[in-house]
Amino acid sequence: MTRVMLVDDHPIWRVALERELIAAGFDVVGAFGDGETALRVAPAVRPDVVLMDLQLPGISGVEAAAALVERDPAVRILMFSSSGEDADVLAAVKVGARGYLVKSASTAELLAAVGRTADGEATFSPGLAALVLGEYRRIGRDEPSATAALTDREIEILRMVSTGLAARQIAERLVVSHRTVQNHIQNTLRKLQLHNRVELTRWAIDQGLTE
Amino acid sequence: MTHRRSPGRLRVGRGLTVHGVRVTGVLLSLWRAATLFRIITLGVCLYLIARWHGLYAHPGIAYGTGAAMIAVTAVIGWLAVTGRAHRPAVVLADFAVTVLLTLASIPAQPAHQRHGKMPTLTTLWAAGPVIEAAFVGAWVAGVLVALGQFGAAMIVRDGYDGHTLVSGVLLLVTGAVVGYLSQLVVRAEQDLAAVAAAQAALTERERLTRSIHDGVLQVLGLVHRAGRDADGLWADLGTAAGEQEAALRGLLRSRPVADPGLLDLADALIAQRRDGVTVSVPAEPVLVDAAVAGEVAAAVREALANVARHAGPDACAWVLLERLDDQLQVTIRDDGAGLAPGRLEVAEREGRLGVAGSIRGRIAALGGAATITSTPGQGTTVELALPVATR
Repeated sequence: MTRVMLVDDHPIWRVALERELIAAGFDVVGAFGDGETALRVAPAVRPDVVLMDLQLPGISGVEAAAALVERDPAVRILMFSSSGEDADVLAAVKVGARGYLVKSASTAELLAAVGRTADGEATFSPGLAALVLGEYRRIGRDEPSATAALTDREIEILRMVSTGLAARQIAERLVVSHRTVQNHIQNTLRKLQLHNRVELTRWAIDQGLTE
Repeated sequence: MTHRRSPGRLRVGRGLTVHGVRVTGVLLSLWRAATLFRIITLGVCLYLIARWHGLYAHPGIAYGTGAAMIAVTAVIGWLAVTGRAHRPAVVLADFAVTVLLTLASIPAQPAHQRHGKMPTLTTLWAAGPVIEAAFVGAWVAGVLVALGQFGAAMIVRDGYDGHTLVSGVLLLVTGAVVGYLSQLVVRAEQDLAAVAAAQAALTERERLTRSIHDGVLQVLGLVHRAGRDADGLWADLGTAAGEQEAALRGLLRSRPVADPGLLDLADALIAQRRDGVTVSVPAEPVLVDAAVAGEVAAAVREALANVARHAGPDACAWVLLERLDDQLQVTIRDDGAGLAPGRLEVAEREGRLGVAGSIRGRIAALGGAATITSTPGQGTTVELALPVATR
């Protein structure tokens, strides 16, 4: 049974989500209102999937996600937030979150996304795809020698996701397997995370933080 | 606010408004410094009068002048501390009285001493109105009043000698420099106050945003979500909550753009979010000419209206904004009924341009191109490409 940890500071959301997840057969191993508690308890309850709100009191959802990934790179974090926090969503996937879902998504969409995340697939909303696409284009503009660039196929797929096509529909249109589409999507995230790490290391060297 | 007896320490944005004229914190401090200068120089003058009492032609006039100087200093000091000394009438009166007291040296001092080394009765104290005028009327007033005082000293000395000239030049420099600096300080203080006000507005906005986000938006979001699984009134309530949530988020998201001629196209497109319409944009603002943003937003609005009219009741639409190196790209896709092959071309040939023509026209006027592709059963895609120099 998939072990899910829930982090949302709003009791009404926490209760509603927990009820839906349990009803769908997920094992909710914890539901917390802040990132600090989640970080403290995570090693004990070992969640497969962490469903995390972006805006939390105390440390932010992004910081909590970064700390969880730092501790256990295999942890699968699905960020969950209302739209309108674009920069935060991008920051979360850069530190290693596996996907993003808007809070207005229906129960069925939410359950499907948690299931997919548990299976190791990336959950891309059209909004997230547009943010990732935009970020690669920004990197291309601002850092001409950057290590992160998308292939034409990856751009094509991200644009399709951004305009609302599901992975299955994309596979049909491109005449490739669903698996291939998923791999392309995951690659775009992985390269972005890698670029983020390179950037952090470069920054650390510039600041004299490494020996 | 009426006058306050003890204006606080030098503080930005604090000051007194007296008779409609605002005296800012820095000017108040300057006035008090000027008062201190007046008191110290008064001490010097009184000491000299007392020391040379035996040398005056008419000691009574010298004593009377000293007493008048005490009175003027007291009145000006009191006005300064209560924030009323900055009125031009006060400064002019002070200037006139000071000139008269300087001229009182003529009957008080014997001629040979006036033309020799004995300073005028008012000596340094007479620089007071120069400083005050410089505060009120910047360097021009400072220099004019200094010239007046210089003239009075020349009359007393009966023509200028080296001594008078040096004092006069020092007085002129004082008027000019103090006037220039006080103007600079007041302007700097105004700028600082403007920055502080902007900062305060921003802080307040952040506080409101946080509060709205933590409260209202969460409830609206949950109602919206719950409405999706319900029917009838509850479903309508959910939709309405979703629309209000999107509208409120748009308001909170919109960032003030520094240049009034520019608009964030991302904001303009996000404003068109609603149930069934997903708008996706890059994380950074896409600043373009306000007129261009308006036209693009209008074209997107027409395309979405067309989706609502023709694509079918359950059709969803997605809007994607991309900023490429030298162009903007906006894609509007729907999953509706789509158009039969060739229908668009036939319509255009027959002159029934309709929405497609209108969108194409808007984008062509901006030097761009609109492409419309459609497959029956697979919806329609409108792509707008614009050669825009984004900033």
